[in-house]
Amino acid sequence: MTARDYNLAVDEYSDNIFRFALKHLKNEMSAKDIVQETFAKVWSKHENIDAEKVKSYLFTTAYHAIVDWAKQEKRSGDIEQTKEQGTSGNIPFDVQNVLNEALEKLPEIQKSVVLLRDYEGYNYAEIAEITGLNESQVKVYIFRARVTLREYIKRLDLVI
Amino acid sequence: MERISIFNYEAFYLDFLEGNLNEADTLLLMNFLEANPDLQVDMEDGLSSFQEESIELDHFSKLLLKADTRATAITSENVDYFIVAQSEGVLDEVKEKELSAIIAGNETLEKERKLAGMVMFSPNTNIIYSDKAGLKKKSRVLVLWPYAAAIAAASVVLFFWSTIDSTPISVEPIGSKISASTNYGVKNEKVTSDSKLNKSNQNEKTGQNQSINQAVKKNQFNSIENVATKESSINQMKSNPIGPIALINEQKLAPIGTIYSTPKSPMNEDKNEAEDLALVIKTEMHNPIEPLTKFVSKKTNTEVDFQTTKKVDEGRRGFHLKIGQFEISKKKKN
Repeated sequence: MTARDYNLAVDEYSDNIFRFALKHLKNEMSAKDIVQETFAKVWSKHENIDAEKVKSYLFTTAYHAIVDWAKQEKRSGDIEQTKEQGTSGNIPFDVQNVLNEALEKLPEIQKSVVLLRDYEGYNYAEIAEITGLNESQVKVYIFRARVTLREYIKRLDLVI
Repeated sequence: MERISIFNYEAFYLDFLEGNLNEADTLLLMNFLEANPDLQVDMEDGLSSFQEESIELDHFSKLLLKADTRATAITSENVDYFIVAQSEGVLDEVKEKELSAIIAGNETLEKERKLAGMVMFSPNTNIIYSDKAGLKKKSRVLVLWPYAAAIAAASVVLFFWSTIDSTPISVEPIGSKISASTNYGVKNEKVTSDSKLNKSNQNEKTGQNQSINQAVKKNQFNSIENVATKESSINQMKSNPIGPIALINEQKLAPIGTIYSTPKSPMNEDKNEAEDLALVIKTEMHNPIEPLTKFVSKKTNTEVDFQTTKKVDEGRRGFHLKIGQFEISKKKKN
């Protein structure tokens, strides 16, 4: 991958990585750190990375950085959460807001696979490559997450 | 005898609670408890809290573990799996139709399907990473200018070189002329008799003398030193008795910088053509813009070289340009 390819990847994927990290970490500064760390790692190996596979490489790196960060924060117990920018906070009822609440209740791995699926449109095989799981595991986690999310909405009696 | 009876049903029930009872036995247990309502009263609480969820999860899990669910018929027990699969977009056309047929008219299932379609996330595109510029790296576009400079310089040199060299250089080194006439690679009738040979050599020498003298007069670019060297070689040649072996020896003793031509024969003519430039490169190539090529090589970390022939032989000229893996060679004949 050339410097030009790398810069194109910054333009194309830095927002996606940031959203993905922010959704997990709920902390803007930490999410920015993850983005910087991810791109720094990719740049350090850019000569060995195929430009066509850079997105997958970026998300794999970001995912592992998020997992490491979450472990560290869990140990230190110092998780300062910030509200996402740009969310429709003034609306009293919004399905997306309820879903976001439900998402927080999912195990981390289920949350990751669902976000990779919905945010980035990855298929099971690609998610498996990023997360280091196998395809069947990814499918199981996604299906279970969907059922949990659905039950959450049902329980809160928010059915339209 | 019935598989589940009043004597062993507790064991089945415990297995059921632990989730170790298979589907067939679970069905048997349910039938048994239905047939014995007095027993069900005692364990109603336990069953009501586990029964529904456990059975549902079991079907769901089993289908999740299957690699291919196309052969599995959709029932009221496993419909939940197919509803999720549909929302995930992994259901094939046949199953889609089958599911729609089952759901049609069933309000509860329709509601479930609607809910399944709602639990999808979409990214908030208002959230952006603001410091993209900080992540970017400088592109190496500017580094390419030395390549262009090298090519331009080489082109200029080539242009001047071809212009200056357009005047034919008629003075030839003795060795090359001798070797051209020697033709020692093939049988030569001229070398059959000494007298014939001496005579022909004498004529040849005289002819050479004349042509050299004429050429010296014509050639405005040759230095005096060069001419002197060549004339002394001619004198040496005159005083030397020439035979076939002596000719070869003479060729060996020709002045430094002389281009030796390989004798031509019908058999090795093609080979000689191909080797011609290589011979020239080996003996007479030099780099007239060495400081420039070295500078470009150093700056771009790429091998850059430009070689041209010296003005010693009108029959062999050429150049060789190398930039990294790109190489071009050309032989020019007058």
